Amino acid sequence: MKKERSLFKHGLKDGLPIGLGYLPLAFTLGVNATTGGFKFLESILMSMLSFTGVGQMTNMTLMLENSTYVSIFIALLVINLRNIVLSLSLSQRLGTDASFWKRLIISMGNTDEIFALTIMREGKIPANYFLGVMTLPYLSWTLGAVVGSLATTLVPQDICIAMGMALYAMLIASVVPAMKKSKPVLFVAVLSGVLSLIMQGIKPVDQALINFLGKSAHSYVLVVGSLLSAGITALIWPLKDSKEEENE
Amino acid sequence: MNNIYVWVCILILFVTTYFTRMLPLIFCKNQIKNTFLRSLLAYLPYAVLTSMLIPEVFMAQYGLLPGLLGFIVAIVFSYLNQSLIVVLAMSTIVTYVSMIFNSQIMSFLGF
Repeated sequence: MKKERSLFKHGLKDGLPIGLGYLPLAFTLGVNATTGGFKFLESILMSMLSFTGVGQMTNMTLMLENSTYVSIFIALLVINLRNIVLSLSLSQRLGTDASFWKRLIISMGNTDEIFALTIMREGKIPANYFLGVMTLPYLSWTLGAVVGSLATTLVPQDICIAMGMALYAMLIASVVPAMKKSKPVLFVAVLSGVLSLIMQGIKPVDQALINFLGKSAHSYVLVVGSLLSAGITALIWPLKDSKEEENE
Repeated sequence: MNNIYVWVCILILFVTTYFTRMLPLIFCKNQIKNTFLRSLLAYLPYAVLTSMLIPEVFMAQYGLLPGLLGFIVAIVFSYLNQSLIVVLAMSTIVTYVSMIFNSQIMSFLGF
């Protein structure tokens, strides 16, 4: 019992920096949700139910375009495919104390950053340690959303608009370090960026796609373009062994 | 926005986020064998993130030039391995400042 408690406490301490990092992010998402037309309760509930910045941002972007439920579902599923990869890796590393119920709670908190931190631990990852790590980030995630949703009335409109950039900066910050380290990642990112730029950035192409696929053309383009570029990259640089996956 | 639309979208977000994390943790304790599938899953996140970013980052409400500057600043600071807060703060500040300047230059030129 005592050991379990100290593992949890140890996790709390390790999770603190992530918690601090999430605070401005959650704040920004809260501001953007309210600016986008969400009511306070809707904004808070979205943050508490979905512990994901990229997912929330995508959801907001597609909702503002009035996308259909099906295309939102497909786009979010594709974006969350990486959760499957992360959870598959984590699943093989969790310690024997990871009961069914603890795994259900851990599933809530396996974000990119928390995964990256816990997976660095040597040997098995005790469930109590993981639960400790995810606690403070989740609380600050919720707190940030509350403050952000309320702040919109206090923050000048220009600043709210500029804060839209923070969401994109978050995407950049999660891709660039990996691009620097790995050639295939650099290739896949550049390829899908160029594909997306051609299909959405060039007016006649974009218009033709919208005429052909309808209002939610953008989310289909996102799905198809990403699968295509990841597929090509996987053919050129197949992963050599299972260890490489954990380094991604 | 319609109330029902908002709630359904929040639900979709929850289901896609939670279940993709939960199902492997509950049901899969074995590694995927197929190399192509494993590689595809490893590269897919980066492809999705980039195609969400481009060209949307240049088309938001703050305008093309502030978007471009914020984009460059975010890349430089993440390349230098700065923490997430620094990257977010610097690119937002640069976007905000250039947004203010941008509108002044535009009105000066008579747009």
